[in-house]
Amino acid sequence: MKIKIVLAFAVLQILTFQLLSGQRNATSENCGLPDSEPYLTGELFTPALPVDPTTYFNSEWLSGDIYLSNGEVVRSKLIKYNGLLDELFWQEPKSKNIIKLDKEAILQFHFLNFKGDTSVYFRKIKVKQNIIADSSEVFGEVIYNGRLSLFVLHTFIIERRELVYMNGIPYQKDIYAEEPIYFFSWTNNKTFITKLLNRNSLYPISPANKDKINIFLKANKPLKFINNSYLIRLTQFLSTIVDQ
Amino acid sequence: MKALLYILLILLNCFCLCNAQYKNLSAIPESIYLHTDRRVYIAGDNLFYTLYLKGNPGQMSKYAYLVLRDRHNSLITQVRVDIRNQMAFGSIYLSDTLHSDIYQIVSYTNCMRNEGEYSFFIKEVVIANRFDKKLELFDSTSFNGLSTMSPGQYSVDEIKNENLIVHLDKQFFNTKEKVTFSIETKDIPGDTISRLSVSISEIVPGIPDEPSISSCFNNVAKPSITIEPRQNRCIYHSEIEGPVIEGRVLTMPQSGNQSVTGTMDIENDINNYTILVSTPDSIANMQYTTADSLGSFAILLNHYYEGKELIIRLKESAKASIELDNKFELFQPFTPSELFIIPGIRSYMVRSRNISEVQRYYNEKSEIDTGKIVDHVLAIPRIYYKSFYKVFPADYLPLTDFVEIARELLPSLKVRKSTDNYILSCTDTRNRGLLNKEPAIFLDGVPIDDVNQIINLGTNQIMRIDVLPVNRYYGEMLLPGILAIFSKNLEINNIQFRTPTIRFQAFSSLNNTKPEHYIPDYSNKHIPDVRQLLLWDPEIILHNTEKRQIEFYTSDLQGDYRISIQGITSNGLPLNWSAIITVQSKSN
Repeated sequence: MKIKIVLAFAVLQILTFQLLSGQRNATSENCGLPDSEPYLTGELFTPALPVDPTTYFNSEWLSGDIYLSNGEVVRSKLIKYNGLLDELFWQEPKSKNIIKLDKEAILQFHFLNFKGDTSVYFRKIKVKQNIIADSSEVFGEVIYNGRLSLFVLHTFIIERRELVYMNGIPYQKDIYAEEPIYFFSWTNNKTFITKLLNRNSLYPISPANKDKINIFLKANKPLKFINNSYLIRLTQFLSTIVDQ
Repeated sequence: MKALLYILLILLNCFCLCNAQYKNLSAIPESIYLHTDRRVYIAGDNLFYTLYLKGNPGQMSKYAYLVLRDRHNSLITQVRVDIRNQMAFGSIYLSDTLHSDIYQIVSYTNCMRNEGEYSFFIKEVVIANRFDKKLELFDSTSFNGLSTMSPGQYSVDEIKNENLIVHLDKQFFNTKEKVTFSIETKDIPGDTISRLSVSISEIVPGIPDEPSISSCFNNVAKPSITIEPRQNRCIYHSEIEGPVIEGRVLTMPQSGNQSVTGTMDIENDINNYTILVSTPDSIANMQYTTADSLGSFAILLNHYYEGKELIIRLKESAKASIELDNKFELFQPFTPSELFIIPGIRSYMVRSRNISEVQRYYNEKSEIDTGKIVDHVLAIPRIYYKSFYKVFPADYLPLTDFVEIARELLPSLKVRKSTDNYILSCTDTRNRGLLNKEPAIFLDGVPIDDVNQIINLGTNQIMRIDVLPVNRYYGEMLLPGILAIFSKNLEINNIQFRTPTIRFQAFSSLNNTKPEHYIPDYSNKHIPDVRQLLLWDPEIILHNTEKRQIEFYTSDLQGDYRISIQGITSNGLPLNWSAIITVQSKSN
């Protein structure tokens, strides 16, 4: 009986609190804000062939903020990034259609929670990938931002081709493998691009400091998979030995 | 033990109740105080003001509206001001043609309109026309016929000085004397920024002090009359993030200045209309919103649209009209009070008028310092960033109409005629399919209804054509392809829209202005200094317990002057201080 009285009392308290707090919320809503979100622009994504799911940076739709080039921010949208296409996709909430967002409109985007990491940012950077081609704008994951910044471009290469059957019709399927490109950028817009992070690849950054690079690489041997903390350490080290 | 448990439960219940009630009451309604440099003006003068806003920290309006109206309720001036750090300052030019009378300044935020007009700040000022030699309205023989006072006008300022210390060493000063005094705050918590405005002007004999900011914000001067807000209106939104355009879609045709009735038949029973807002430009632009089931809508207007002519229309065909909320519409009529109907007012006005004549003769009008322009980050709401292809018709042989242009120059577009109407279709060149609907057509950056409105445009009239023959999304709006045409002579102005449309001039805020600080030039001794306003400083910022020196010069005019200091702290505490000084001849 005693317990029942206590419980009834507790329920009464909760109800009273919610009722009175609710009054306040209702009052403020009347004078509230109209919808003020900037608009995302893009085209309906209807590829002729399905996109290989392994080429997405995030296989599931994740909530993210999109920073537009005009200074506005679109918050908490379901987004996916595809490294092969180098495109950001948005799941339009009403129709659930997949929209390929205009790259020109985006400055950077941020995954609010990527496998527990709340600091995964991608920024649009201008890259000249080879001598022949003009420079192009691509999305790079921001690994370290400082005097020397490091971005990782999540690019893919065709590793092999397999013959698969779809509805009894054979076709050749490309099997992709990720081949990250490391993009170092100094504050004076000087850049250095490499696919590998071994000694020979890093020497051109500072040919006069080959010894120091060797010592660093010996002391900080990366594991099988290069993780972000190693990349941060490496960038910090390189920024100390390179004069701008 | 049992008693203790019950006592604890009762105490807990009380705590919950109080906490919930406190939260409920913590929403402070917004209120405004307007400090003006003077109360009597000559037509052709500038009325300088500083506006203070009190409200919920972090949730306060960024815009206020100022209206100056006459006794016939005609709006003389209607302006919007940007509020930054709870204040705004500037000036209103009082046109030369204003007749001598009592005028009312009304100031409010959009959010305050929900409370009704009784919550607005009102203040009466007198304006005398320079050419009105008789000033009959202020003649002591005609005092009987005037009506009763406006609410709150006769309130006695109960709080004289609050939270301010002013160090003024004497009360009597000579003409042309440099006066220095210092201001500091008192009883203000640490880490506070105080913003003040100072006015030193000649006293109009017989007129009581105007209510201070303290009495206004402490609700001393508010009348007991409660005027209900206008019924059946859309609820006014707080302009915390930016300016808001509100309105309603009226399904029954209505006549009015700002209404244009649609002529199309009702295609289906739509309640949730889509309202499109755009402006003529060389970039296709648009904002949109959806009306609620009652037809009311509100849109947070992008700063890009400020001061521009907007074309607001329904996306859907409907027998309806759009009615925009007029933010400057006041329902309570203004009846001048008897505040200024006092024996000495006419002679004071005659004196002020003569002084104004002298100042004009010597070209001694105080210069206005154009302060910082309130600017915002311009983020154009563009429909697309890069077109699939651009066509400049001037590069080709002349074509007489858009049917020919589409056939010859735009391979993904097809215009065909069905009965009397032209229909535009679009082929998705990327996916090699026909898009289901007519593509969205933009003329000079503005969305239009259909291709029939541009069918007569030939290459001589068109500067550029952008085509995006794919299904596009703009926010959550699907656009089945985009055709954007930019004409040479803004052909959008000649378009007759088929869906309900109105044109509306978007507001832009006033700049911050203040008079140039007066420094006497003793080299021109023959020029008399006849200033009635010795000092107007609309923005003095004090950090914590900072002490600030203020200096000004008395003029050649002898008489009593009021130093009125009003202000507010970053915590919302009102600050005010007032005193009278006397300027007398050196021989006295």
